[in-house]
Amino acid sequence: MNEVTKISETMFGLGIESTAHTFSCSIMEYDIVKRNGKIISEERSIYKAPSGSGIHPREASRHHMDKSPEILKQCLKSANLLPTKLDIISYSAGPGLGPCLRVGAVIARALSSFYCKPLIPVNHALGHVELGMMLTGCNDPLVLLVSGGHTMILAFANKRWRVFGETLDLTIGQLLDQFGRYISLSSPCGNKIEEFATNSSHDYIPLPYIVKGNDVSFSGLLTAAKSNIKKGCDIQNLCFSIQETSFAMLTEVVERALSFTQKKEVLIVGGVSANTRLQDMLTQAAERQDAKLYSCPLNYSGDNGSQIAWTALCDYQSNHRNIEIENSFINQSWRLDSVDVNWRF
Amino acid sequence: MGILLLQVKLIKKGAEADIYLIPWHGKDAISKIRKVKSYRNRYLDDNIRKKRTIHEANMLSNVKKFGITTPFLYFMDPVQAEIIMEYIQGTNVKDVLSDSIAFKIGRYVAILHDNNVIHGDLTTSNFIIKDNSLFLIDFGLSFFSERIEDKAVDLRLFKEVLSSAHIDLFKEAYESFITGYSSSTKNNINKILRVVGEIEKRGRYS
Amino acid sequence: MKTCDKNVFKISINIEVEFSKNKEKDAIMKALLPDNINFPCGFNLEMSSKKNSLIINIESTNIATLINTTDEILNHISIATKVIEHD
Repeated sequence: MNEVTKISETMFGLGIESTAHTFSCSIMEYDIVKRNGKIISEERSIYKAPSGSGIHPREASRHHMDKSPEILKQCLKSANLLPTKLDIISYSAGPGLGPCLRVGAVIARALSSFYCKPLIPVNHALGHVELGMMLTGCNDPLVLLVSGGHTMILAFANKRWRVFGETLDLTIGQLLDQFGRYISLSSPCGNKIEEFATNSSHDYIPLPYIVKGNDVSFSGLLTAAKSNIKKGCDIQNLCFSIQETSFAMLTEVVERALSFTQKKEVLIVGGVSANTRLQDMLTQAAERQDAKLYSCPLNYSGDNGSQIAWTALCDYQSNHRNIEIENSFINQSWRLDSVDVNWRF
Repeated sequence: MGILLLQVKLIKKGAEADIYLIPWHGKDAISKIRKVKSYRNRYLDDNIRKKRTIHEANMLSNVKKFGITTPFLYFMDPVQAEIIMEYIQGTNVKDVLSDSIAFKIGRYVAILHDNNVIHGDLTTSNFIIKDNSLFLIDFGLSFFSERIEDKAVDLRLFKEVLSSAHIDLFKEAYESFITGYSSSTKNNINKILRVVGEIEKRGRYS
Repeated sequence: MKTCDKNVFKISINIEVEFSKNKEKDAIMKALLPDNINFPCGFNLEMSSKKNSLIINIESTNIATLINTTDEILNHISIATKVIEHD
């Protein structure tokens, strides 16, 4: 039987993230009166795949199982809180890799049951968006969510985040990662590719540029990039060209969506949002449409527990509902646009 | 020359092109200029603008043969990425979308697809309605293809626009669109709709 | 258990985890139960409890599935127990 949350001015929520390569715990404080939040503590550990190979779900889950007790302990210690002082327990229920998702879910359920705390499942993509909004302070943005798991353009309408555009095949994170692994880098490859691109002589190598309305397609680009390696093209210039092409595609569709929706704010979230060239392009595109670019602070652009905790706190505050542990699910392909967001208008 | 400039009026700053109302041999015309995108690599940008300008000019004329109403093409300059075409004084469908207009759009798309033309950018803002006639403008992303996959992407795009920008009308408008398409096409829409479903499953964790 | 292809064998594993307190056993069992769904062909898993013990029965006609699932469950029991331990 879950304990009824006492009426007080602040709430403490624990968020557990474990969808893919990152295992993270975070405790956030929610001010009920002011309706804003503060990150009290956040700890994370990232699984590093052997160079040249992608993330293996079972190996990644082993990493999470290995590191999780210590990460949680550190998180509670940094927050100076005992589990009994938490008001809600939340976990990333999807989308993601099954074995990885199960680690976070098991931990959350155990805590929820033992300490009698409400349990909240959170959609990982929604977490990126909501945390990004909270940290940047924007109001009604067009959102570009770019990571290994997602490449989507979103705008809020009628209780849900609606998809204005997305990738038709690979995500931008998958494009960069698969190319990176092809040249024997270690996943996640985004940083290294950005480094190569910046240090290149900026000689553009033509690659397929595929925009279909508001959607993009990267598989042709990846194939062409790989065959350019076989032809002996300079790796740094190729990395430069991949970025120039794929980021321009994304920026173009963002610009169209901005023009169509007439929104004055663009928010970029997700692991790939840390890329400075992408931010630079989007800033220019936003200016052309008289809009302002907001980007999620670097520290929180990748996967982390805070995005889970924050979203759960908003959800719980708005609905005062939690899930029964028996019904607490994980869903590997949980779509963001299928989630009702009742705390936003 | 000075008098001519005064008569040029910017009527829309789009994401891709600026639309001007200009005098053209004694009547009003539209000048559509694809702007340089400074954030894009110069070589890539020049290439894209030129290619889309040429494509659009060709398509505007070609599709008339199938019975699709489009503005008349007057002039094209691929280097400047400019197209000069007939001025249609109507209302943009984005502002007045209804079931019957969605039905008409469905018919148009079916005619294009039956002639292996993929529009590539089926959004409501690319249609104008004037005196009950539907005009299709903007063919920059169009191409020829017989593949069901490409037709499915076209349909899915329109569905996506309805479910995001026209969410209040979504169900009825999409049904009307599909009915309009089915009533006009010589092919089997169900095959295409199946592929639409498959595409919708991609782009996320599998 | 869903039967599929002709099986050469069926292996059963019986695991009993005795907890010092009932409350701990309950928490662990609740943590694991929701994931006991969508079993592949030739595989079955049942969890029950007796006093302070959690009883797990696993049956499988595929050794790899058996090893992976048993490995995962035991690891889950381990982490769930660690996170509710008091210092």
